[in-house]
Amino acid sequence: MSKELIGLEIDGDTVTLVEVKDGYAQFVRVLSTDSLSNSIKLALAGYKLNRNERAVRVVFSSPGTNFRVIDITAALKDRKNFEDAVFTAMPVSRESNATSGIFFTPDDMVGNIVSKGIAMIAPANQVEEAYKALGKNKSELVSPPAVLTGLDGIWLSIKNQTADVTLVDQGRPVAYRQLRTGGLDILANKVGDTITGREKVYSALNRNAKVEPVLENEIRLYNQSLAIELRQTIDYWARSNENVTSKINVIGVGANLLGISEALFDQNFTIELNDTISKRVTQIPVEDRARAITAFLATMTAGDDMPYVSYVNPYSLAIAEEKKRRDKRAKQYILGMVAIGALALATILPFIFENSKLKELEKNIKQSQSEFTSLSESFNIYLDIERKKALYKELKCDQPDWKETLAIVFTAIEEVRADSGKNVTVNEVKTGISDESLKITFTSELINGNSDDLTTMLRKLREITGVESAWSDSFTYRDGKANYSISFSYKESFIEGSTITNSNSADELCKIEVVK
Amino acid sequence: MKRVIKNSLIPVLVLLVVGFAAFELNDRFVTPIKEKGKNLDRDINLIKSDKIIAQEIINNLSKKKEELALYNSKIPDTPSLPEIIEIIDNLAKRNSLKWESGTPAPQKVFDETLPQGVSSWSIGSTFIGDYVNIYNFINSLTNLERMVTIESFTLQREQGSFRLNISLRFYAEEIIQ
Repeated sequence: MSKELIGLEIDGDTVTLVEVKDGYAQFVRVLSTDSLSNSIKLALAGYKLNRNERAVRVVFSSPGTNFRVIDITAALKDRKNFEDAVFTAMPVSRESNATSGIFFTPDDMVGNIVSKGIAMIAPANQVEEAYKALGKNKSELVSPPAVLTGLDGIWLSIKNQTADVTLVDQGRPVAYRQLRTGGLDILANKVGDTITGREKVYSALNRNAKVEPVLENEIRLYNQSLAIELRQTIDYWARSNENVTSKINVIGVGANLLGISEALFDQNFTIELNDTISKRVTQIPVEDRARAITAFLATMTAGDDMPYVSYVNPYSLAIAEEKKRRDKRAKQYILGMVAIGALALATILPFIFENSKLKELEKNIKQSQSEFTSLSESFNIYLDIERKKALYKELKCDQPDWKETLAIVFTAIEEVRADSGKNVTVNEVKTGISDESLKITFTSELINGNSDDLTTMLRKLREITGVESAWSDSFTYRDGKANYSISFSYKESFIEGSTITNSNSADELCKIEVVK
Repeated sequence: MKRVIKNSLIPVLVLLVVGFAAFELNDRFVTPIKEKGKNLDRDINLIKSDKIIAQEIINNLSKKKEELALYNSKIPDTPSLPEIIEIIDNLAKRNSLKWESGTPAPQKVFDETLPQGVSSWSIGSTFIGDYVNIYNFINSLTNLERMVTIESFTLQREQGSFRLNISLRFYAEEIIQ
């Protein structure tokens, strides 16, 4: 289901609102109060203008509106360049006028291509006042020609403040002029004051109205002036090679003014209304149709030819700036909150988590300690055993196999005795530890012994496993007896780091492993 | 371009600051808790394994007490000097060795290489006997009820027998109260 759209026309202090649905005007509301902002406020009463929806197009008819066809280039995409071009085409005060325009072929605005378009100006103070009255409502203020795009023909619009004529050719507004004759307010001022004059004129907004002779005379003069000026304008455009006809679309509040048709007829104009448009406004009262057309067209063209077609809204710039500032602050706030959140996630949560884990562990260790207390006596036995075991191994298990030294000496002597058949005796054996080896020195006596026996003895010793070296300390021979002093070093049991598989293998305790 | 850089730089800077702050705060407040937690966890596991050991001791209490008694006799908590003399004397007698010059006096040895808490005493003795007895005596020293180590010995023939000069050391673990 399509939504209702609205369009507005501002004509002095009078606001005309048209509600359109499915392309047909449904409803017209005309309000004229002591101030424009009040009129707008009352006109828009009941409508919720969502900020996200498209802007409401407002046709702004103001005295001082001017129009030129200008050359368009790519450079005019820049608003400043566009304004420069507008004020070059229409040499008026920059400070006093606001600009708008339409680019007929925006796709051609590339490179050096020159295309056509129109530029429009309106008094800046009135544009500003209109936007101020529109307030925060999302709106686009345009001049009357901007809504006639696509509607070929001559459009005479008679409003309260102004009367203007627009020529639309090949779908484009190509000429526009505000008539010096002015709008109905000129007429009203001649027949009364601000209020009564307009009331009197409004009473003549019927082709069959009966009015007092004075008013009738003023209306006739007004109509004649308007028609003559229109004729002069059209003739001028004709001379300027514009494609003009004698058929006129008359719209605006003054379209139904008593005698207007006749006056136009006298200037060889015929009155008609664009078929499409006339069908689209059939649902609103007949007397309001002509004055509703501009607002209706505003509704139908909303968003077209933007952004240059509308006058710049100084308030929207301020609002946009404020919004930008607010957005920036919001972004900073969000960024700050995200940063705080991230910091909290990265620190506070782990802190809480680790703290609760720690408390749980403290609880567990207390429980374990309490359970262990009852077992501590037994555990102390274990500690004592392990400590003593370690001491035992360290002090005892690396000891050399002392008895083996004796066995080596006496075995060697016995072998010499067996080999030589001589009587050998051992007189002395000395043992001691020297340079991590066991050093054994023994003296022996051999009857009829000689150096060969000494050599045999040393050889026998050297053949024994564990004997690193063997040597003779002294050899004497006296009274038929040879005396030998022999030494050897023995390292069988000095295995470095050995704790279990040492020479004390007979010691069973040395085979038990120690728990460190 | 500058705007894009500015817009993206601020969040990156904020991110960096937040990251740094998070790191610092974590390092200051969370890491010590984690470390403490790790230590507690390790302690709990140690207590658990100690409990298992203690339970095993309880299950084999008499055997373990015997084992401890064995080691305590090897390395007692007190020097028990008369006892060691008696042990050596008994061993000599069993091997038919004679003390040549009466019972000697043990001398305390100050040895820095000994494990902490362990004290040692040295005893030098002279025995007379034949080779086999002396061999057996030295062999038996290995398996005495009191742990004894040999530092050195000298064997000299003397009129058909041998004179054994032997230097022995024995130990005690003096528990410091």
